[in-house]
Amino acid sequence: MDSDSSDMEMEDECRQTKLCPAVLGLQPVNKRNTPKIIESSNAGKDKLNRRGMPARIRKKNKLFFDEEVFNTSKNPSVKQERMMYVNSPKKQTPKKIVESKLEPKTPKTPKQEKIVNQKLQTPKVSVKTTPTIKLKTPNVKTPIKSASKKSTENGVAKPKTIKLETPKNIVSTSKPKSDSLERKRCQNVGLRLRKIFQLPKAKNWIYYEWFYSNIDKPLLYESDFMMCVQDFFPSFKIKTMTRTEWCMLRRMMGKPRRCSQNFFDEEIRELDRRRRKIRLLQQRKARDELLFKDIPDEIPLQLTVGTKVTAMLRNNTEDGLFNGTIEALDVSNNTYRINFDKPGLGTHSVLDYEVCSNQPPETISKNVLLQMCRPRIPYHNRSISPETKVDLLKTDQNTIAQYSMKLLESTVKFRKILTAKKQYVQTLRNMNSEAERMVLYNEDITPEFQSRYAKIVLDLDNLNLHLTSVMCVLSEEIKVLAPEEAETWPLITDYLQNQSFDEAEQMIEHNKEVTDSRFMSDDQPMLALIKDLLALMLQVKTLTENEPTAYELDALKRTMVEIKLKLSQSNQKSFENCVEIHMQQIQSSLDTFHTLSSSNRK
Amino acid sequence: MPELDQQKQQCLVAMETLDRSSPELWPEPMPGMSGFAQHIRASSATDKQPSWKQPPDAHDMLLVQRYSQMPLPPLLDELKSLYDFAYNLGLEESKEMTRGKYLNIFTRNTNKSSD
Repeated sequence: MDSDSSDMEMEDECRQTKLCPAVLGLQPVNKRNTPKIIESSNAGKDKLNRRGMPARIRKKNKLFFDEEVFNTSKNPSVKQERMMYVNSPKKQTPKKIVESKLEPKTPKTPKQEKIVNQKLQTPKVSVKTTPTIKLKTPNVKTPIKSASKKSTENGVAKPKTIKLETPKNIVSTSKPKSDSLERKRCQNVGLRLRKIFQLPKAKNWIYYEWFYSNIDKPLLYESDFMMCVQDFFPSFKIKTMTRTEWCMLRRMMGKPRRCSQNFFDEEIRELDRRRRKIRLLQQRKARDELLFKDIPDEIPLQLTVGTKVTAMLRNNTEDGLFNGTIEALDVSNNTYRINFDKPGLGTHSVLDYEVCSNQPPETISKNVLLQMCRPRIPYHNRSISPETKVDLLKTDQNTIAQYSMKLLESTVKFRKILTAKKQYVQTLRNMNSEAERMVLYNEDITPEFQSRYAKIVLDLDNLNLHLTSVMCVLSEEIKVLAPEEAETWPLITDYLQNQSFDEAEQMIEHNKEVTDSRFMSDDQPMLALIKDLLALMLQVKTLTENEPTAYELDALKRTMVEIKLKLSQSNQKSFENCVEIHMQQIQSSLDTFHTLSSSNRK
Repeated sequence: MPELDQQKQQCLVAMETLDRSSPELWPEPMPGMSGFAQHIRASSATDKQPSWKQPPDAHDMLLVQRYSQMPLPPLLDELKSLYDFAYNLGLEESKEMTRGKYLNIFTRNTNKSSD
């Protein structure tokens, strides 16, 4: 290589310019003095190899610092190539052009710059664009071919630089000191790009090469190969090696899998699986840390309404990447509703992995999301829809349990009453709002409204009475059915009541010698009263111990009613004065404190 | 002297107001409601029964059957969720009732006229 360096340099130059002028309409160096006979027409020419096939185009790899060496050594004789270049005008294939469009971005030697300045053709069509978008990547190449098709591509960086719907905007970079020549050249390139981007294949290519949706970015950003390298050689730090060295490295990792349809299917499945995990994280539904080990640490947040995005529209009439604004998010089928800017496109639902925000997406740490996850309702406690019930039936067919008809009936009735009650409460809420409005406008509340309101309240009262009785039946049944389960249900009125009575009984049992000595056998009613009052006191005690609930207050009320009924007429008065008043005070203080008063009962 | 007395008296006047009425011992759950209660109870006796009072229909029987074939733990869970639902409904109900109470729906007009 180094032997005839001057010649080599020339050849290198040719190699480099060979692709470059394909776009710029330039000639090789040694043809500098000849009049420009070949211009843009043969710009994107294919060169043929010895077998007459178009030469394979090697993508430049930034990780290989000996790329030039590789290219020149691999290619057939440059002379032959040059001949082809000059003589045989060939038809341009879209693919070729697409490749060649990368050329303006390759770094140029000063020599080339000179050529550029020397050979400047007037553009055939004047373009009225302003250079807004920059194709600034010097190398938009894949570093390493890894397994999956999409994950091979490292073009993650600039999916937004290309906008298909406005190809006229695409102009390559012009330096700050850009003169009009440079500008015209850019326009020329832009014009070509515009043509290219209308080809469906080119559109696809751009989509595959550069378009990375927000959800895919964390998944595909790192090349699999580099991750493997990290795994196998943790201390490996070098970033530039020769191809031979890279090959050596790869060989050390073992034999790669054969590229097949199965393999692609598997990769796509894997990608889908990881996308689902990211969605779970985004929706704060993730809990198990272990499950999310294979997800990168930084997770993009869901796009919010109003975000400007670029989205892939797959439509009968229009197909391609378009700008738009997010209007809604549909979590159920993972789509965004996007209103496209281009007039006539309208609003469409686009899958979230085909939507990419124009601004860099906001990300959040995976661990934060895992901690923020919403508490999950246990499977059985979710409102059971008919389907899940059927499932349950199927799975547990072996263990058919027998329940008493009473339990089943009350359960159904319980359900029915609750449904009705929900409606009543809803109506009540609406009427309250209406009344509030009337008060606000200082209107009179009509008697008709009042009577409607009163009817609702009375109905609710009536319903609550039934509800209580049904609940009592139910809790009794449950106690029979699963005694140990019932203990863990704190919110059952008569359970609380019975508990206090049991406790009172035990206390009296415990102090039997005292009670036996004090009370005669005919004093049993007195003993019963003591027991009842003891139970009442215990209930009051539970009120103070933990946050009072409506059930506990209810138990208290019911106990009082029961005690009162047991007493004789004459004693009821003193009970009212000595006990009930105080209980009432306790209750009302709790009512105002907790607003749990069940206003239905007296 | 009388002036001084007056001054003395003035500084002895307590600004505290004691216009606190004695607490109502047996308050009506919904003020002004009782008047309506009688009237409506009488009128609603002829009305048709609300949905939850009607005898079980085919759908209910289906539910009974489904429950009867359920194993115990899911049934208990189902019951528990129903209880939870009832509790939450109760909370909501009490909230709305309190709201209605302070709106003085039944006493508003009478208060106004007395003012």
